[in-house]
Amino acid sequence: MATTQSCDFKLAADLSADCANASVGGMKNHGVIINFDDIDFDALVRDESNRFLIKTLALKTGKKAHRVYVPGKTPFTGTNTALATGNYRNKFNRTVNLVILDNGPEVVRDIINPLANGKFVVVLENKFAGKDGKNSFQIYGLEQGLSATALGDDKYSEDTDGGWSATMEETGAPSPALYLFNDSAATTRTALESLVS
Amino acid sequence: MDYDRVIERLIEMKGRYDIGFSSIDRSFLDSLHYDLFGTAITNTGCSDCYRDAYMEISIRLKKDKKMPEKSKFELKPGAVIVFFGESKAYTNANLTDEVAVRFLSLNHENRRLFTEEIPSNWEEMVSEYKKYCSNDNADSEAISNERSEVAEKDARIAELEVALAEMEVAKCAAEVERDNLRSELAEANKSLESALSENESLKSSAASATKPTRSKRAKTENTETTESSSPAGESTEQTLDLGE
Repeated sequence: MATTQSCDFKLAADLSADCANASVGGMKNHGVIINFDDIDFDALVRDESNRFLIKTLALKTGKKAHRVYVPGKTPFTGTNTALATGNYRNKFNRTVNLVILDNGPEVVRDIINPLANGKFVVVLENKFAGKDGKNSFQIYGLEQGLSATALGDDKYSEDTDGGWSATMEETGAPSPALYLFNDSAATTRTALESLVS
Repeated sequence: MDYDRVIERLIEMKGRYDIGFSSIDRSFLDSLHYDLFGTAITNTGCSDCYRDAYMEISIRLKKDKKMPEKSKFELKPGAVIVFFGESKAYTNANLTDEVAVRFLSLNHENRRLFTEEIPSNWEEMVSEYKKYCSNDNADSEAISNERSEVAEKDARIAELEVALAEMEVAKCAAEVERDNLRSELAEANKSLESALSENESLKSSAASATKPTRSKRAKTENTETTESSSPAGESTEQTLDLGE
């Protein structure tokens, strides 16, 4: 009888807390947003020893990513990852919350309308970089793409001051989280800069 | 974008320097800054950051008088080259032909990180590179030995540079001392010259003061010579008296 391929889901490390390098919640104010179709998946390089670590996230020729800046003490608040149970395999849903503190015809044409209908990948920087910096940059939407589930312009909102707020969701992603890291945090930052330049 | 067009655009933007750049200007400055310096403009949240970047870009272009030369190879956006054991990262902003060929020589699969904008003979370039240059992963021990030698030589150079700097300081001090001595000598010469000239003038004035006496003496001597009858002893006494 032929052997059936099966997945191994056994724990490989202790569930401990690093007392010397305690984790910090929250994210930094700057991020990067990419049109899902502009990503060159043929050039995507994963770390050989850890498939949840992306070493190279390159775009197709002539494409560029865009910066995301959300001011305040708790930028991108509400961003999270949640388990979605399935019959045969559990997956993950990811949510990224954005605010666009601007408005007008150009904003609607260049940002809001594409956000409402397109599919995106967002890279955000965690405050907690981890011991070697590998936790710094987290990727959302690389597997299924983030698409808008809420997008509104509340004229009397005290938070957005007449700007827009958007909720982007990725559902059914097989990976709990994906990180971008190439050699060092500085090199990864350089790679991100080259995405938006 | 070529140099002249960039300068033209920067001159056109100059009018908005004080009132604030538009979002299109900022985007232009962002990409120009990256092309010139290989980094994004730092802290884009403040209003002065783009003014600083504008000045930085203008100064660099005025100094170089040309746009930076681009490699024949072009990486895809987001692709970055890092060599094992080296901290420097290469993107399109600082990519050189040599780096691209070296990266491709590691693995032909790396070709996928480049756009179509690469020389058609890149494989020949890679084989040529492999023929004459060692791969960084091929002989890491030899390279690390060479690196340590280079580090030692660098340290020696640093020591010699320090010694050179100290000698320069000593030389400067010696030169200052020499100049001081020269000026002292010049002053001493001057005072000597004035003393000599004073001496000369005193001598000449003394000579002019003694002139009539001498003529009198000469006259007397002549008279005594003609009086041959008079005794020698007397004559000598008279001369001595006159001399007194």
